[in-house]
Amino acid sequence: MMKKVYLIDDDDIFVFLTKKTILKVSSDIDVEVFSDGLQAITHIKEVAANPEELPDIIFLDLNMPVMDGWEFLAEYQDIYTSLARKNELYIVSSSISPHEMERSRNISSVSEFIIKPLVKEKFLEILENL
Amino acid sequence: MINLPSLENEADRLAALYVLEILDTVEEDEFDNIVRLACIIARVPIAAITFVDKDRIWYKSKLGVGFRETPRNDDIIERYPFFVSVPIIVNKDLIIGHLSVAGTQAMTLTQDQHSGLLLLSEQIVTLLQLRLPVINNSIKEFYESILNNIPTDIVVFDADHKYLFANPGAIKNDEYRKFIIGKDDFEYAEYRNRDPEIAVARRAQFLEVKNSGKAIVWEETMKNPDGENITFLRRMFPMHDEQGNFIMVIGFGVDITERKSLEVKQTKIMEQLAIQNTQLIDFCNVVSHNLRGPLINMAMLAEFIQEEQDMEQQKVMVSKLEPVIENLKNTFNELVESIQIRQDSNIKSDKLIFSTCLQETLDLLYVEINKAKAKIVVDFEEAPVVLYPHKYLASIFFNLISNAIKYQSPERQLSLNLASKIKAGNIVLTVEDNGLGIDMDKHKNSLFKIGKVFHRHPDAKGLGLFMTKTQVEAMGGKIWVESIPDQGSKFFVEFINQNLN
Repeated sequence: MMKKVYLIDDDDIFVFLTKKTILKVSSDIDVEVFSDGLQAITHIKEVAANPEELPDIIFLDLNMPVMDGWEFLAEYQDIYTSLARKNELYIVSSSISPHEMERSRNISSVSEFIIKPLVKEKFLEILENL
Repeated sequence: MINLPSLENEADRLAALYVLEILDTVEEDEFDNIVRLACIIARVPIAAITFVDKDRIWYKSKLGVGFRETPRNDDIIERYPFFVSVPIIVNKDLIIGHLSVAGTQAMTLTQDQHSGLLLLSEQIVTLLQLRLPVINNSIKEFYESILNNIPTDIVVFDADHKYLFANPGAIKNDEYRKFIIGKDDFEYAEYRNRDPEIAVARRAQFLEVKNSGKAIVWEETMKNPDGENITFLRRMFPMHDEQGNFIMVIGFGVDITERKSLEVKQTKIMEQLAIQNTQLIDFCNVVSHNLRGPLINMAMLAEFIQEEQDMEQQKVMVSKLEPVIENLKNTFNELVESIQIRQDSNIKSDKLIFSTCLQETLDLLYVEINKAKAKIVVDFEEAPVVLYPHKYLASIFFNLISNAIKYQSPERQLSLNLASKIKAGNIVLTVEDNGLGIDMDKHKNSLFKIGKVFHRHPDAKGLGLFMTKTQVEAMGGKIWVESIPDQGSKFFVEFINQNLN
């Protein structure tokens, strides 16, 4: 089955470059982009029962308009165990604040805190661990 | 005949007796010798030195008598055919006891014998006073000099809230201090031509102490004669006699103005530190998000451009570099500016006319305002002028109005209301719109933080409000907002110290 990635980030250029990185690793990956937390959580709730639509991997930015990464996680935390497809969520942020990393460690739905950029090697490692 | 003490000054008499601390002491040779001398002078076998207590007669020294005390009304004279006693007198006329001689046969004393007994009685007084470590007057002076020089206000009230004592700490002026003894605060307020408000408060405090039987402590801030605020820590407590009857209230007051002002200063510094710490964290976050973000994009782009073989693809990516660099430059400039504002605390204020400054902003935003067909209503009548740095006021107007244009509702024509009002020596400027509004429940705490944007809008960078807040706070003012989503926002800016007369 084709792997599915959700990329939640408002930075167009970063999205463009990360998509390129992902597709370099494997062309057999479907990337869906959401430009803020609200769009993403709304979509996830809509397709919660449909494993075809749900992702294997979520890359979540923290600093976004309308609904930021933390607000997204507050809602996602309540529903992620009941989703029809199991997935791994990674925070991908330009933040180097220890405070934010510590904060993410206390959220069970977060697998890891990745500091931007997302490099090929890291993405490969994530794929292998699925 | 025995000369029993007069009951008229019984209280003073007892007080004088108790000060001597002679009652219930052991037998002493000095007093016993006087009793022996009395026997020799009168040529009798029985003599005694007795003191008249409240309800007993107590024998300090005795010859030929067995008991140490008798009831006060005991008619001892009747037991002896001969009995003579001379009074022991202190403070001119207070009889505290007697020197008595008695015999088993009736007789009379000669004039010389009688004079001898009187001399002995005076000798007893001298002996009594010698026994005291410090004589009476010195004790009074000793305590008074302590009370008068102590850096604390001390007052004593009787059971009816009349002054028994006030030290110079409490009332400096000698005349006023003399006046107040035997009077209450109401009489004093009238005498000094003062508002009886303090007397009412003091009476309530006095009654609280009297009725509860417990001490009370409170802090009190008032104006001194120079009009400066001074703060006192006051304490009032009740005194009871041995039977537990309420007799007086003692009040203390300590000037804690200096301590108070230090506390205030300390609190202010703490608040400032907390604010600066938050700003520092915000600043750290903005450096992470707003500077590091574009830098990473540039680094990634450079890498991809190098790897890319296709010329067309390379061109596409080069074209993407430009907006990243532009974004980075703007963020950097705004950050530098915000740091300058913080360091520029001595920036000069001028008298600015709101309407003039607003017009400058409207001219700058001419194109945007025209495009939005914005309707602008202005009311600067109550406060037309403000004392403020021109640069900051221009920036406040620019940020608030351009925000209102940026976040107008697509469903209705933009309407802007600007007004200035006077509020307790300060001026409050309000900028109200009918735009998209902000969800205050969600964003209350992060509204003015750097890098915060609330709308899915290409121009939203989240630096404008942060900058405005920095400028307002640098001048000691405040900025806040009331907003309902999809109805509009109302921003309030407070300019302090605006007494322009």
